[in-house]
Amino acid sequence: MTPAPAEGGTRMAGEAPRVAPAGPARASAHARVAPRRRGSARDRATALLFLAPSLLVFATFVFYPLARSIYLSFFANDLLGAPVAFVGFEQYLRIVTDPRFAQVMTTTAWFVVLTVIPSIAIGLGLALLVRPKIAGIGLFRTLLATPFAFSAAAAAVVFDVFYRPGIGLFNGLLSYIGVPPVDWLTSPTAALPSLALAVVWRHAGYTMLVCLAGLESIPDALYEASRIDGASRLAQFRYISLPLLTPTLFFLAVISTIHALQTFGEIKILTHGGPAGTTTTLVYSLYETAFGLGSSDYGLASAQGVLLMLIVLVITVVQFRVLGRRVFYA
Amino acid sequence: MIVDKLPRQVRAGGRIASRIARILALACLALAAVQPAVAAEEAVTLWHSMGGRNGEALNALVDEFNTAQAGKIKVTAIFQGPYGDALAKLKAAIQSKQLPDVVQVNEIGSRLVYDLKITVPFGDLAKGAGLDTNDLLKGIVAYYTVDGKLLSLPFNASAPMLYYNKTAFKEAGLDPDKPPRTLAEVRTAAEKLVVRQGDRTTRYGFVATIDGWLMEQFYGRANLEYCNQGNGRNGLATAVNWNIPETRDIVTWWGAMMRDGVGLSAGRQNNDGIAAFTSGRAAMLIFTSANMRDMIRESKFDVGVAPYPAPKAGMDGQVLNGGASIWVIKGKPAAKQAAAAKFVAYLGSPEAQAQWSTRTGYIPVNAKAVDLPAFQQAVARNAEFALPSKALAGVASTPASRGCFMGVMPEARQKMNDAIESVILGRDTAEHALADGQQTMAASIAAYNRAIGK
Amino acid sequence: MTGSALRRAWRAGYYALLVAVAAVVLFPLYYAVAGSLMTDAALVAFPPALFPTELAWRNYARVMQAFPLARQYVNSMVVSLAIVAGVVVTSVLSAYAFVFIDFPFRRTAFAAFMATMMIPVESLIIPKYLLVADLGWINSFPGLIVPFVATGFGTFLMRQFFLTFPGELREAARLDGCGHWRFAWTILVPLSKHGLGVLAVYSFIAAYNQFFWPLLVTNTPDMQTLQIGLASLDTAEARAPSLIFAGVVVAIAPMLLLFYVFQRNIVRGLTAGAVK
Repeated sequence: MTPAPAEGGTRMAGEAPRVAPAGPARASAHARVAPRRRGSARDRATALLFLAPSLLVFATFVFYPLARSIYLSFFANDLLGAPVAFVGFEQYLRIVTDPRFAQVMTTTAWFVVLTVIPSIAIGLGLALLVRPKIAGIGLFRTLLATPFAFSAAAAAVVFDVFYRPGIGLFNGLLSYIGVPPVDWLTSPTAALPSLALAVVWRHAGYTMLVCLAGLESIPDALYEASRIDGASRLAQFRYISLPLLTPTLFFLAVISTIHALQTFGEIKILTHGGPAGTTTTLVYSLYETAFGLGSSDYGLASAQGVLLMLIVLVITVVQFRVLGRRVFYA
Repeated sequence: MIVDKLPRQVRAGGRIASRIARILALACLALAAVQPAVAAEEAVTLWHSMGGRNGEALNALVDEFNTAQAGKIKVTAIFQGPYGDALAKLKAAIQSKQLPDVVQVNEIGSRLVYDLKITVPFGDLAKGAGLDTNDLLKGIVAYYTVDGKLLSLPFNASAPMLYYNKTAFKEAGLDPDKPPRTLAEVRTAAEKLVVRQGDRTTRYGFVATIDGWLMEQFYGRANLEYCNQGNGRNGLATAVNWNIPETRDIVTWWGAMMRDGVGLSAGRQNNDGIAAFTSGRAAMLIFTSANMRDMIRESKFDVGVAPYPAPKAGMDGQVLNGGASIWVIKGKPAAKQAAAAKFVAYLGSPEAQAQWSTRTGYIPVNAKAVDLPAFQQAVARNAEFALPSKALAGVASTPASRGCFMGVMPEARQKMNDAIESVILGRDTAEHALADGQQTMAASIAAYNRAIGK
Repeated sequence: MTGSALRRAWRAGYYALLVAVAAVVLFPLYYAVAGSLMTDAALVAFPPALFPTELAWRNYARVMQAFPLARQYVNSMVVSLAIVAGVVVTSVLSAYAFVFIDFPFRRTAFAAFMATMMIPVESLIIPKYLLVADLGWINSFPGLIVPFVATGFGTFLMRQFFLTFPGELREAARLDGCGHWRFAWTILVPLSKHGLGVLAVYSFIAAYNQFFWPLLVTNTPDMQTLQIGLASLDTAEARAPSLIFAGVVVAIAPMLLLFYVFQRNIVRGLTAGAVK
């Protein structure tokens, strides 16, 4: 589950900043096909042929499942998950009224906050650290980006061993400096931050790479000019780097949020949604409802899937709106 | 409103989509060729949840069977993760009609598998496959018997035990030959066993993982039924029997042990409890016998094993059998089903059970296994190996010790975990947590009973 | 102190900081490697050892023997590469249609393509599972691959790329009697190597990292991808951390190597779109 190329299909968010600059190009694309008629029959056939593979996949694995998901969310089901009774909005009502779901939504929100903000802050910090073009900096850039070469599962497994109460490396390290052990994954207060740490460790490698690319795209001339004006490093960061990096950071915030909403592997490996449900996010709750504990409550799980989709939809739309303004400003 | 026509329409939609997707599949023909070829002998697939050393022990049995049946039957054992994950896989596999031939399900999943109607009662197959079910321990067979029919082979049966560090007992001035017998005694002993350095605890007196299974065992010891309808044995259970003084006392005791720093709560991962005990960080552990062999070997001190403590003095109920049983999936070709039954029968044979038992800590469910030299020798080396069987000698003699037979038991165990956890953390009182849990379970049970059409 | 001495001291301090930060960031990797060479006794001791005192190479032999990690590695590669190939082909074709061919409902079709990107796969996981089950694709390569061989993102990315070509290019080719198909594959694709590389890297990482879907649709270790294999190793050998570490090292070593060798391309692929 990499951040930008997330497991899901929501990754275009990452491309949005490109949309705007491509604006003029899009106009020319239309102009390019002249004269303005709807193509020859031959062209139409070719277009259909070219689109057919993608359309087939989308129809089968996106649009049809989408319809069935919504359909299933209006039904109660038997032990095997087959829909047996139309219940209208009852599944959605269960989500809204069950206090357990309130906890799921709060947990999801906290998980987003605890992963997105630290990974961007750390990524930016690391990027600034390795920005100076000094001898051997390439090595450090590579080293600091290394966690990203871990897959989500590999990182989670490693942290899982580190966190163990009995054999835990982390508690061992704490004991060397005289700090009492922490119940990393077993205390309801520590579990979510611990889970977030494992995610952030890996994700910060990615945010660093993106921030670094953003920093490198800022013309050196700007820094030169400011240096002549006697600007301090801090002032340079505040008045040059940060504003010009805003679209990049905003992009990272959106992509990381969507990524966080989709996170599953780390939760499955590290906490199974526990303790006491304190790390059960929406996606994990969906999994538990549909497949966990021998239950096959596909109706309720589908309703949660629809909810997840709506949340991602809203974020995407907001992102388009905001970026539409931001990018030109930048 | 029941719309019985709609699913069919959806199915039709599914079929059209299927057809479309099949066209796409052409692209994958080359890859499909990589699929394993059909073997000449009868291939039997077993899904199980035995990891680590116990997994190795199971693989050894499978290898032995395969060698003996070379050319005729080949069993492939596939680890599907812990019991919960494996059960989820099983449910999903019903959808895809890719069920294994034989599957291991833990005891609390029994009612669910029974209701899913995907298995052949093992009692119908055992004789033909060469196993006399009369040789199996009656009490344990009772757990897996419905309407007089044995549903599955109780392959790995375990008993809860109290493990204690004899070396630490001596250090603390306790008699290593007189382990505590009640929860109150556990508390007293644990207090003496705690070692503190400043504000750091270097040794806890007691450790337990948060595991509802341990609570189910206390029900057995207290001779109380866990769910109504005679533990779900006389009819469909409709409620759990949680919010009672006895249970509240146990949960309160549990919470106090941990909150007072006398005991260590090892979270929900069994391995963490074992690690805390075998590394000497905690001097007593209540835990299943399933890993006894491994634990004794790993510990650097003298391990004592004692009967599971009673909630209160004077309570002399029975512990229940934990572990899992093995089910034969129905709807397979006759030859395959026969091969599967033969394998399961082998797993229940005296030889297999003696080997299995001594390599793990599960009890030998075949009464004849205890007479075999392999088992005798193991007991001669470690007298402890005889204890789990002794603990389960009287299982199923009362409704309480037959264990609750209920479809949502997996969820109940998890909910019980939540209740215990919230009390340990001081977030809730035992009374409130149990009342709450009982109420949530009532809704789940009702939903389940509705889903099976009752 | 002279200016140059001061600068030297500052520089030395900066390197020290870099080394310290790198040490913290890389510690989990270090300990996974170190732990893979320790005995379980050393790892389970409290506090655990920080360096291996004897090199327990047998951990690698044990984990490779007990778990089909090599096979799972092949599975991951087959699945990821097949998805990359599929995505590249479908994306080039559809992007070409959107850019170079005028046809009715072009905008609507493009909107539909874009819409697919706003739907998280997790939302559709149940009906998708049921569909793939109906197809009999559970525990097979088609089940792992086919649902992912077209993405709205791929089309979008290639479309953006194609839009940078001047319209005259197609016009000139058309006058030379070069049809759409030939133009697309013999002229456009070779000119789009950079964009294709970006898409390939992007798709590969996404496919390689998948967890939820492969967990659901695979049943046997020999069909599982590496990610699922690692999770299964973590639960099966929960009491033998040295084996878990050895398995993780085996699993990530090739990826680390790829990452170090192709870092430039990977960075370009990952940051596509993040920076203008």
